[in-house]
Amino acid sequence: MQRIEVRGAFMTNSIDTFPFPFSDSQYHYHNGSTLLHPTRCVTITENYHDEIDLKRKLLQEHHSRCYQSSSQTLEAQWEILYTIFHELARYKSEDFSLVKMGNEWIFQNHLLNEEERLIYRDSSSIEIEPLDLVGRHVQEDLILMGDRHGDLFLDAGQLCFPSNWSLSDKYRQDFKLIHQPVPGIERNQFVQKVARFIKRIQPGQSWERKNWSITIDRQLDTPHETFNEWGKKRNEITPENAGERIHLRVEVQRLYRLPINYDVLFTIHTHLRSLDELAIRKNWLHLFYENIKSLDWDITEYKGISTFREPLIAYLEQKLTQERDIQHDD
Amino acid sequence: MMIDEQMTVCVKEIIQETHNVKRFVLSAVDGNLPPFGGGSHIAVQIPDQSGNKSLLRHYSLIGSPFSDQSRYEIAVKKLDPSGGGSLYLHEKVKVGDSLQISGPYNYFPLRLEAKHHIFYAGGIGITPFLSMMKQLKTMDRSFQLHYFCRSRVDCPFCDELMQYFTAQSNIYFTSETDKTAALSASFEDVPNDTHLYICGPSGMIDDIHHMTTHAGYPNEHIHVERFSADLPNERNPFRVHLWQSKKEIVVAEDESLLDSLHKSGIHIAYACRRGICGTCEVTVQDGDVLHYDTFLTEDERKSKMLVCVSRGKDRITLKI
Repeated sequence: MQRIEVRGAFMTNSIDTFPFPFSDSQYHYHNGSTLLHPTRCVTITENYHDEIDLKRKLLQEHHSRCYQSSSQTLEAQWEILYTIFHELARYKSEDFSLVKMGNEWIFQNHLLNEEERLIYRDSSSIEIEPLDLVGRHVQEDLILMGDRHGDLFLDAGQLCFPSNWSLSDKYRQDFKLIHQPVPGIERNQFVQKVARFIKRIQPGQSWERKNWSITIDRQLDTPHETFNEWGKKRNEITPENAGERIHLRVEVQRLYRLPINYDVLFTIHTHLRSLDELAIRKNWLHLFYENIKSLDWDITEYKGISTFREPLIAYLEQKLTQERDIQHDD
Repeated sequence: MMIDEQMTVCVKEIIQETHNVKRFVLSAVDGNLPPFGGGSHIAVQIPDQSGNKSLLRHYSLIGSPFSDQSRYEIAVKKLDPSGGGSLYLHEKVKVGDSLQISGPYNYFPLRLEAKHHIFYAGGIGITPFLSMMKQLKTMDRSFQLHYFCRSRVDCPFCDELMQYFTAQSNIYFTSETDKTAALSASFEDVPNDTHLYICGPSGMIDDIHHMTTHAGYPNEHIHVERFSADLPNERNPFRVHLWQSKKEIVVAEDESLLDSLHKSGIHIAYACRRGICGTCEVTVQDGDVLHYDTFLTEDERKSKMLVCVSRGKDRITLKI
């Protein structure tokens, strides 16, 4: 059999990988997707080991909360595995490799010192489903949006780090239903337009957009199911602890059209930085402040900011005044 | 805005399939080629006779989506008169030559929610179905092909179909068979949740549409790939007033409105360049538009146009 090794260009990530989401002082909902060159679905950051450990622990302890799928999605799941294994081997060839002998594949993860041996599209060759398997090698949450019957449906997902939503709630729902809790999303047919945009994504293309919210403390796993545990921390914020405890949560969301099954892979990479960390970059706190200030009340409520909006604003104003004073002294 | 990435491929093999159809096997120069699904096509850059400009011609990929992606295969019919693409590929291109391609694109994908698929091909319209059938066979799904050709000598891939898709292939030579009778027979006892796919000349598409409309068949289960030969043969220059940009441009007969806009510094997002995807939609404020797209609804055409294929008559005003 022929041995084919998939290897390619070496790419590096910058040390500061935080995707700061604001470029404008006024917040408004928009699609704002950009086409990626080259096509990428996942990114490896310096938190790789910690986040993979946490992900696997959550999958071990709460599997049905973190994983849902139907058997009809197996073909598309295999295509997701294909896509991500090839991407890792091509763009992070120092950390991952893929050796193919026909349908017999050996995927090596050098970061974890692990190896996956499988027969492509043969589900009996692996112990868990393909989506569940490939998701354990990347930091992203992976959602399969089935493009069928003229709509998009959440047909499968491995979701460990949701921002206050529940996979089992949204599983099998259509695009409009999934987005229903977002205030104002039905204005000007916004949801329909985004769905139309996604349905027109061509195979092999990946598009990226950023979404943001706020999390108290550095906690990636904030599912709706455990709201009782993490939601109450919102009441503990004071102007004094805001800088340390309030984290800007940014989701880098990517959409990729699977060429063969013609469904859409939706990946979510969640990044968290405390306000104290953000303060290192000039202008970031200022932009963040302007956005929080001008946020409509319903979005403020939806993003869970209302409870601590006052101490947050107080912290930001104090911090920005300090900065101005320092600049004046200079 | 989307910028199509170009790839260089090498012509590995040229196979004469019929007297006027050649199969080109293209291999990657470095690394692998991007994966594709059934119904996909690539755009091939064809230098025009002057050698200064190049034309883009679209050809379906005919290999299996599940084979290893080190090569693509296309089949090209020598058209008479040719838009320049098929003549160039047939007469100028030799084994070992390089070609510039972009894609793959897919505006004719398989709808895998279907329980059964029926393909209607006319002549060289067989090409998108070759990759679709290979994909479905590998996925163990149910499908039938109805393939209409003038005669045996005008029937590309006849042997391959009979060999690999014996049970699914129905091939009709229209010099010998009654086409209408064959069509209506093919449409009897269609199972529920069947999707139909049509690729062939306009007349054939119209015949099938007539038949399905008559039977009350759901429109969203019918998918059509038109030959690009359906684009206008006669193209006239026209003037465009750009309302927001306060500019006046002239679109020459041999260029598209999209290209003229880009040339004058107005960037409109686009993708397919074939009037299929709807990305380059703009609002028309005044003037008569010649619509050549297959995307906009009749209602949308009252105020919109797709600048990649559609043109103006004399002078139009756009709200950009």
